[in-house]
Amino acid sequence: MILLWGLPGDTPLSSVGDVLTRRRKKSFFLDQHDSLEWSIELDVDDSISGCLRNGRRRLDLADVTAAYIRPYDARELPLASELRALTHALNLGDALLSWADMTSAKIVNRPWAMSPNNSKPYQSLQIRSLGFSIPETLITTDPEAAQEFWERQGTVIYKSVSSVRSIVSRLSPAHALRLKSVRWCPTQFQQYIAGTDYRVHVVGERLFPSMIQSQADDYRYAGLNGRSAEIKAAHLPKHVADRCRRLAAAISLPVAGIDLRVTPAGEWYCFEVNPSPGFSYYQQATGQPIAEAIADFLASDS
Amino acid sequence: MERRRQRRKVPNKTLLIIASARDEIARRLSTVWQGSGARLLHPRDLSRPGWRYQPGQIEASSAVASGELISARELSGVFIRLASVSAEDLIEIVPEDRPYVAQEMNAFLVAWLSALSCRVVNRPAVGCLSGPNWRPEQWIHAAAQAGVPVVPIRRRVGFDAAPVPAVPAAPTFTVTVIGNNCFGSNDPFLRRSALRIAHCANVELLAVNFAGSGKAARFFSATLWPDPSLPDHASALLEHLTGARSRMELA
Repeated sequence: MILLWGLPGDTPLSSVGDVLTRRRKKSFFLDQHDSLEWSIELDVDDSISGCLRNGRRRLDLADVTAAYIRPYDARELPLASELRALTHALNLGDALLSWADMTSAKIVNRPWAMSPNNSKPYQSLQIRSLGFSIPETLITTDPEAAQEFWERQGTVIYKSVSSVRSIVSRLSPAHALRLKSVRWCPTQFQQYIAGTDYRVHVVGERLFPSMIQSQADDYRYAGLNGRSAEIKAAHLPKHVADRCRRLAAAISLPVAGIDLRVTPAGEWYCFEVNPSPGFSYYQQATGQPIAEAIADFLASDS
Repeated sequence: MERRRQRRKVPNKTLLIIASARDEIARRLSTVWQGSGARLLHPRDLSRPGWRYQPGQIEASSAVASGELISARELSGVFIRLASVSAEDLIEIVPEDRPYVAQEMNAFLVAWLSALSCRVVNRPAVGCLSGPNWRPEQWIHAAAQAGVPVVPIRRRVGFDAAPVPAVPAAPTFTVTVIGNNCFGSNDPFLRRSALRIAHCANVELLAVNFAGSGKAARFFSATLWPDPSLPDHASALLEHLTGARSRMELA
């Protein structure tokens, strides 16, 4: 049995669910909107057992061989308007995440393996240790240090240190006066790397690289700045492809979205590894069968 | 040459204690450890100019503690008594920005503290600055997997279900692990089991609770935040923080 957990409107989750249904693989969709109907029991010692149940259905967690988990923050769901309902949804979610961290079933992806993405500089050191270049970075509360870094680098971007509000922007003269505000919170500045963006989806041993052409600092939000992004299926040099596989395996993410940029001189930088990639955007643009690959991975015995 | 070495000034070292401004135990420890250069670092220190960190250049980084600038090179050790910076800690930040700023500070501290080459107790995990803040069932599972007998745990979440209490019936014993030392019990089985659990959690400070003693003992819970201000605990922790070679040097 393959457990799918999240919201029905989540395209990556629903597209994987559709593939599993087409292939007649047994799957069980746990809709977060229905959290109030569900209860969970976990019995833990050196083994883990338990079940999910509502009035009509029951899922023995021992029958779950794999799970694709993309839960949303319960505080953002309609049920959050009622405190008791929100508390239940948070507790149910926490128990399931706990199970996902401990179970021997195949999990895409385990919560503990996803957490380094919440600290970009922490993750960047993992990335660098696996052979990719990372941009020179300064995190500071010191306006003078930020100014010096900007002058030394010439062109600099800033982005959040955590995964919250993670939009990349280039520093412009209009920011000069605002630099003094960095004293209130450690702020991350990065050397701007000119080049071409690649998003590489890793699914087990399979890679789905796409190339993005855009004039925006952060192509994911190109539309907000009146710019566009063109996405095409691409090919990676073998050494880069191997490095992507090694990186995803080393940080225990069987499914990952790796953000790369190659400079005109041919140097490959890695900015980030997304542990829960919204791959639909790329799949739609390139025709790459990413949902099929995730379904294959979940259904395989290995 | 030898004479010159003897004349060199020994740099003053700082022992950082990272804690909430409301943490009285941390305040007591900073007084007890004053002679060893202890200095409190509160979340509001992250809103002071002076922090600089370039990933990959940890020794050149600088921090601010109790309002004063400190180079990473001056640190003899870091003791963390804070699970995370919370919005409530940041009264100098405008209320609507506090949750975001707290997240940013946590993400920054995880990276900086993980990179430091001095002893850091406990090393942070992403999501908790004081080590892996496992749920009760995760402690039980990890201990059992490490071969320590455990009290099985049941977690039940239902909209109308009462929570299942996890209080064992047998008398309980607490062993506090500080580095490779154990306090609170002379029972070799409890001490060995406590060290094994701390080792599998990759932490150097841990209070480990058992039901029963001797070979009949069963592990049932652990906490990353024991009170280390008791005199024997405080001196053992100080020695552990400042007396041993760092993890990076050993690697």
